[in-house]
Amino acid sequence: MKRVLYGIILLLFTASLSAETEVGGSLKVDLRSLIKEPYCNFYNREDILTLKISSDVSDNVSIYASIQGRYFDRSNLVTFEDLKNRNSVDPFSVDLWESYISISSFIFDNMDAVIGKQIVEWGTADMLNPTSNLNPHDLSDPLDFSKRLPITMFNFTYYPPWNQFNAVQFIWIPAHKPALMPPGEMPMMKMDVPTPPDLEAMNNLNIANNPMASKMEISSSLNQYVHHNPFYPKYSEGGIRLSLNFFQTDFHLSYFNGYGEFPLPAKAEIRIANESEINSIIQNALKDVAPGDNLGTMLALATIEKIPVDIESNITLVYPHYHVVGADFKADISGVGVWGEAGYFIPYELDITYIYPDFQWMMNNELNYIVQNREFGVRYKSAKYPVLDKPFLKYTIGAEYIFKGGYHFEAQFAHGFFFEQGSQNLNNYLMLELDKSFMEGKFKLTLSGGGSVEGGTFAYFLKNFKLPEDLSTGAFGGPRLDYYPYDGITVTLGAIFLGGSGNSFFAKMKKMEQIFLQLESSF
Amino acid sequence: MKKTAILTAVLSIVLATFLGAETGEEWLKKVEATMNAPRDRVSTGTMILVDKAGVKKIRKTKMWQKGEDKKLTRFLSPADVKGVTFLSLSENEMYLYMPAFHRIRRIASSAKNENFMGTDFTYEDMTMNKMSEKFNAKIVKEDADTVTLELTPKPDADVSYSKEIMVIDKKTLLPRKIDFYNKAGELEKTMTVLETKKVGKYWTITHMVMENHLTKHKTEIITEDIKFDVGLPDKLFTRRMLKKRHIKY
Repeated sequence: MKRVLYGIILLLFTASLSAETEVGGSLKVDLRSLIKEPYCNFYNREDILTLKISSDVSDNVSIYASIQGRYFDRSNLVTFEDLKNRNSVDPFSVDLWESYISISSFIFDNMDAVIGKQIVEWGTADMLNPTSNLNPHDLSDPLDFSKRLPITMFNFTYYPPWNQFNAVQFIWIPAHKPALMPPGEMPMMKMDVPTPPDLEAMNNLNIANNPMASKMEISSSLNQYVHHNPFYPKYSEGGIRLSLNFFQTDFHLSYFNGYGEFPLPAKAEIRIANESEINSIIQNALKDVAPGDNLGTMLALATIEKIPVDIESNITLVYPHYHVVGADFKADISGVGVWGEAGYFIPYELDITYIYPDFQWMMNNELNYIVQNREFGVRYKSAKYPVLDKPFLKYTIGAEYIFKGGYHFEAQFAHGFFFEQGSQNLNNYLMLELDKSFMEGKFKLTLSGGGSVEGGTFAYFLKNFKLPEDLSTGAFGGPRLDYYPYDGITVTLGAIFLGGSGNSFFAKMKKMEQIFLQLESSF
Repeated sequence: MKKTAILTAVLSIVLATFLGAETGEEWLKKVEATMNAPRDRVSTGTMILVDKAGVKKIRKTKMWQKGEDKKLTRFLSPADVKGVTFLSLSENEMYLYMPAFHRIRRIASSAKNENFMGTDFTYEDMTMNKMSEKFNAKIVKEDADTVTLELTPKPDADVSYSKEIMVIDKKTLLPRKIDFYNKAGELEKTMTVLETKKVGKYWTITHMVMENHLTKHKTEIITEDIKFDVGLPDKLFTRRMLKKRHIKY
């Protein structure tokens, strides 16, 4: 694959000799250090080279492609064999990023087509766009929510001849692509999914006085499988977006039929994986006891010191299927830029099926069962709960203003972060940003911050005149200084602080607090 | 040559005497009429940004303009701003397309007092062709070649300056120089026209410099490849064109 991509790079440069072809790109050096002990280290150092080529094939046709080479300046060594592997000692990757053909006046004079691997952003809010569900997020940097993965699309936009400020856009995506998840922990995957009450009650069960259970040494393992087959036509996605402009205000109405970018559990199968091992321990203990000798059986069982029990959980994850009806606007009211965006998610019903041992039965009957049957007995139960059965609304409202002296201030309130799915999982977020350029634009200082509070907190407060006791709250913030010493180069120094309580996303990301230094040069 | 200049000056005085002296408002409208005379224009520009230490940054642009309001400006270089395209339809309706973000961003009109892409021109300065809507004009000086106007904001005008002093070239009916005074009454910026040319039947500014006296930063703009009345369609000044890689006009 890499040889093919090197071939493409060579081809791009050869093509650049043509007068209508332009080659450019950028080189970014990115150095990060975590702030908190024991993580205070350069956890990431990476160089990203992006090569871009565009060529005007004719007046109406152009092509564009970009290739991204990433060099990770950290060895990934676990075994001695890794020392012989280039990708472990000196890891790098080369990816074809975007590649598409643009055709103006395609079929109709007023229709443009863009076909190929591309990024299409819908919505008018700043980064938190509930209507932008076409391209999945690239969370290889878990703190950069703005990055999207390009995917293959057939993108047609028709502009009515009587008003070229209005447009209707049709998108067809042959195959759904999921989000690229961050390395390490994934707080965005932790959703509130209904669990059988008796399974949940097992966490608080007192097994000390139970003759069999007290001997059990329980170990558990978790396997997660993703059910995703993009070759099936049913994984195609599509959308339509209507752009309107009246009273100097931009409006958009959109509809998307496709899959979420983050999977949800559809099946949880919990099994005791070493039943035969348990049986052999029991049968070994009972080898000198005659069948029917109940007292002897119980005495023999009492001699067993421990019974290892391996509980294996296999979770099958699927990508939820949605209709998303969206609307957004952006306007200027007395110099204040205001916007609003909402996505109404109508899910195809998604249930989770649990298959799990009836632990309560085992607690009460296991000993009798073994005495009577001379083997370990497991009864499995099943239960089904809805994961997504009700529509839910995500929305963002925001405003920006540039104050005298060039202080640019922006505030946004969002109900539902991009990874949150299901009405019970939507939280409230407030984001603020202030930036100011100084020294003739050589420096730009940005201060950003915000917080989150669980959805429903406000309603709870109005009802009870107090905050919930187990309230989860989160906060983030940090400064960022951009320095533009010369044309084509930006040096950035910044820090991100995170924190919070309970189950909040920012609290879970606490250990990602970091300072960063980035240099980017374009050519 | 000298004789011609004297003759022109004498004729001007004689005409003014017989036809009645023109007011400041009329001179300002004449300047606007000159600037707005072409139906449309296409040009390429080189912006040279010079800071107080003498460090230069150079930006190349292509600009399409139709009528008084519609302007489309695309940055051709340097590499980090290449492809950035700015569409202005009115003071309250401005859009910026930044290819890196795949998104067209509407700019709040409160940005009009801000410098345009690091230059010494604000978005407001770029609408010099509509000054009579916002300023009262009175003649403070007149000679054979020039008329000097003092422009003061009309009572309800939303402008960043307390006063502007504009020197108009009587021959070209274009500004030769404008001093911009801020709300504190300080001389903040001076725009000096270094070269004007007649392209076809229209006089136009081809070289000018804007100097900020407070920051000691200046921006020089050289305009080339100017074409007037090429028949630019209205559809060029829409969001559709912001994203187009290739604009054929």
